[in-house]
Formats: sequence, structure tokens, C-alpha cells
Amino acid sequence: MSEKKVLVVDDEEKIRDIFEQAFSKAGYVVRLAESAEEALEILKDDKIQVMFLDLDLPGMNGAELCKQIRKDLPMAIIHAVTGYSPLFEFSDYRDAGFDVCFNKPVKLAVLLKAAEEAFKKLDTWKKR
Amino acid sequence: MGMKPFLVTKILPFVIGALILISFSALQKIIIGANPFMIKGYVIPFIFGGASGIIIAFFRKKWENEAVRVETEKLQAIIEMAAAVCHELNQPLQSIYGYCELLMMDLEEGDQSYKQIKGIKGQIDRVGEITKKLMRVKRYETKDYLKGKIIDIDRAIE
Repeated sequence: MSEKKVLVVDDEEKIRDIFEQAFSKAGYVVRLAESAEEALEILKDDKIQVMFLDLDLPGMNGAELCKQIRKDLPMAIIHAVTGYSPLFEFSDYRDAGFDVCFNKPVKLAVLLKAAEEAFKKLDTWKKR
Repeated sequence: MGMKPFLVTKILPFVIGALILISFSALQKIIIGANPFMIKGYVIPFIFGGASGIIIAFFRKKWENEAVRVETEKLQAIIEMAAAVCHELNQPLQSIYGYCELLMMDLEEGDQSYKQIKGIKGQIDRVGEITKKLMRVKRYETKDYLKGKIIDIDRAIE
């Protein structure tokens, strides 16, 4: 069975550490990036299909990163994880290409559930 | 300017001002025993009263617009501050919450440490609810607090 990889992009070291521990415990292989540029470098060689992106990143922000990722990986399942998200901007996240948006602080169980559902969806698409 | 706004902002204040001063003029004539129907005694009150009416209406509108502008700026400042506070607070909250969850994954439910960490998580949930409320502020509402006032978050999100 091929390994299940997730990409976590967040400029906060502690948050990257926590998400890595949580996803690793659940059996995923975790790639980390602290910036959008680093994430794009990773994705050049590693076509990861499930991602969790912070929106407020140094340099290119999470929304721009999502748009860039969508060009090469249109079927990827991309989650936004943000510290500030007024409901009336939800349509902006959809326009950027995100599938789901989570507000911090988000429960790890919720993120793990989201990853599980994302891989199930990808498996379903592959079988078609 | 359309017909209705012109009537409301110019004609109506002129007529009201003119009528008020004409009434005073008629009253004055009656008091001194003069003929209240002498037309020439009303020309100046008519013009002066009408002009005063327009000037008062103009300044009233200006003060109303200024009050609305100040309230709007106050609200905008509150919303921007709330956004900054939410964004900054939610990052360390995520870290604390995440570390609590990771610790709880390695403990048994009956463990005393598990219960205490669950207590910490509960308080973080509470702070998370407060930041979610702050994100929904849309009105300037205050309540008394000691010697001053603070934003009443529950009323400000209604």
C-alpha cells in the first residue's frame, strides 16, 4: 500500500511540530514547509495530494499558494487553517481553490478526520 | 439634486423659518396694537426667517453626517482591532491546544494528569469561543465596567 503523505505549511514552528506529531502518530508521512516558496519547492518533486495551509505566511500568502498549487495539482485536497476568518470571506477561500477552511484553534481530531476523508475521496476518484 | 431632496433640504426649511418669523411679526403687531395685516411688515421676517431656516437645516445635516462618520470610524477601528487580536491570539492557542491533545493521546482517561489537561483544554475552548465572538463584532455597543466602559461583545455581535 502506497504511503499517505500530507503537506503542512505554517510559519509557526510549534504548530508545524504539533501537526507533524499528530499526523505521524496517525500513520501519515508528513512534509513540512514554513513558507509558500518552500512548499512549492517540495511539490516540484513530491506530488502530495493532501495539504493543510496557513493563510498568513511570510512572502506569498496561503491563498496565492493555493492558486499556484491548483495549476499543477487540480485534484489535490487543500485545507486552509487560519487564525482569522470572518464568515463573510468564506467565498474568498473557495475562489482561491481551498476545499475546506478551519479556524484556529482547531482540534487535531478534526484535522485527522479531514485527512482521512481526503484520502478516501482520492481513492474513490482513482478507482473510476 | 432630485426634486424631493430639493424640497426637503431647501424649500421646507425656508417655509418653516419664514412662517415662524412671520408669526412672531404678527404677534408683535397685535401686542403693540398695530394692524396685523400690514403686508410690508412681513417682508423682512419672511426673507430673514427663510434664510435662517435653510442655514439651520444645512448645519443640522452637517452635524448629523459628522456624527455618523465618527460612529462609523469608531466601529471600523473596533473591527480592525478585533481582527488583529483574534489572529494573534489564535496562533498560541492552537499550540497550547495541540500540545494538550498530544499529551492526552498518551494518557489513560482515568489518569489524574489526563483530567487536568482536559481542564486546560476546556479553558482554551472558552478562549476560542471569545475569539470567535470577536470575529463577529458588527456594532459599537458598550457596558459599564468599574469607572469606565468596555465593549459589550455579546450585544456587539447581535
